[in-house]
Amino acid sequence: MAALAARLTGGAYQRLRDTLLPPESAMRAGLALGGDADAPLHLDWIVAAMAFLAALALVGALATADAAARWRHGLTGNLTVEIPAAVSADKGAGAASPEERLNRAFDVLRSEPGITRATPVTRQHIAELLAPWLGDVGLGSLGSDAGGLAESLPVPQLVDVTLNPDGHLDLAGLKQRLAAAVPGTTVDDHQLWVADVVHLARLAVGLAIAVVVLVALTAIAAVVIATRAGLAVHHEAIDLLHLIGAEDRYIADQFAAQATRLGLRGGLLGLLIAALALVAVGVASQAVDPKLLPQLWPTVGELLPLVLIPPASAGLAWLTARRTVLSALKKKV
Amino acid sequence: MVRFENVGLRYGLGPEVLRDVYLDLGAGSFHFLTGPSGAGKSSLLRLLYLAQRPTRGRISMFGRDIATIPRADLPALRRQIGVVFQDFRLLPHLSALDNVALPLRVAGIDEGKVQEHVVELLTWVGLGDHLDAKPATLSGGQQQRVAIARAVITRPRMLLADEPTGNVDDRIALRLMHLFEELHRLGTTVLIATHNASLVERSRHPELRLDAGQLSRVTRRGAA
Repeated sequence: MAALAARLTGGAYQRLRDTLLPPESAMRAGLALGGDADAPLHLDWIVAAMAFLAALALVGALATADAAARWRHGLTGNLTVEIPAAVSADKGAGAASPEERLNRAFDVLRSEPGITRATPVTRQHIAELLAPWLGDVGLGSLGSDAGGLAESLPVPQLVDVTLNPDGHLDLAGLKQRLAAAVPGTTVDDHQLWVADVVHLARLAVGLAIAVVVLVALTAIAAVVIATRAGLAVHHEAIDLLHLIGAEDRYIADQFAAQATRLGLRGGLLGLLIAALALVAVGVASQAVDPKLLPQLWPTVGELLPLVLIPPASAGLAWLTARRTVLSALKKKV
Repeated sequence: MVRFENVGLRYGLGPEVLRDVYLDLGAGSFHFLTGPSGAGKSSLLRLLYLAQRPTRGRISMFGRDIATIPRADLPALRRQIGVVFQDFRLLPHLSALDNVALPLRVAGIDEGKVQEHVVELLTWVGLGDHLDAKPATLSGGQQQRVAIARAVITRPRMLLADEPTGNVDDRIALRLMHLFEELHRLGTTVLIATHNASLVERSRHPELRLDAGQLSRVTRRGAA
């Protein structure tokens, strides 16, 4: 059974290799170090694992940056005006009704040239926002707009304000005028929230970049180790090549060509596995209530940098192998 | 062409395996190198094919002092030297054709010419039917002929051979000697290390003998 599984796996791997790359015989004219199958440490699989991790880290960075940009864009163009509910002590005969307090605030908002639109948040929407804490009772009571919790709880009135992107808003002046018109009114410009989001996003992107750098360094270390192992394995062939007049560059190119093929193959395999994993996550996320999960899925355009992973793996492998061999051969006669 | 002056060689901290060697191989000369096992023949050959630098003394080759040659210039010098190793040193994953082609490919010769010359030479040494054979599928004698073909494919200025007729029958040995003679006639300097006394005695070429690391010239009646 194990032998059969191994045979099937081997066959599948060979077919995959043949699909991804031309046959070795077409690429190895003059190759003196044996085929890629002789390469030590299965460098292609190590690079595939590194490419997989790099792809996930990159996707994480791109998704976080994208979500942060969307959140920031959504929040920086808006204000929320909060008009407090009149407390029981204020509810005398001369106290302003909620509608009157709202109208006073609107008068101030309409006079501001930097504001495009001001929309009161409906009590139904406020009730929905409070539902996770108050449950259906709160929702029903508030939604009914009469009696129950709506009367007993000091729920403020909220106004969504959209700012003119080209206009200038005197936020401090607006706050003062609103407070004068309706005492206790506050303006939330979301700056604290935006700053936190931006900070978090930058941290996440920085972390992802650090992971990519770490993965690249690990891949470089793997190529160095594999190349040194290759030098040890092929020392007789290398000695022979030297004795028949091969220059260090020729020998280094042999190793570099092999490492490039393995790096490219590993990069493609890693990207393929990462793509499958991301598709699986995407499919699974479809089943989750979008309210519970923020939009973290980058667009196809934003995923384009991922196609750089295979050529980057190949380039890194080429450069590392070549430098490792040239450095080692310098010590020979 | 090749000159050794007071050359000594030791490996690490071991004893000297070559001592006070003076050697002068003129351009187009043909010499046999004889001596018992362990006398230093292989070490002398290593110095000649630039696999080793001497511990002391001076070696000049093709008019250049080995001690002062930059490392980057050694490949070009080595391409003028063909070597037949005692253990053949064929690359096991390459076919006979690719093994013989290696020195030409290393030198950057056009692939069309490589194929033409290699096929011609392998056919000449009797391996025309084994072009694609891997060394493991060839007999000792056939491997040796591949090794010899690889050594002479570049028409080297100097040919060094370590026991080149050790694994072949008399007919093939004679044929190989004719090949060496032919190269010699074309101007190649030839040095053959051998235990085959009859081969040396049959030849008119001079014999150099190594005993315990010391080189001497053997005077033979009728030798050139």
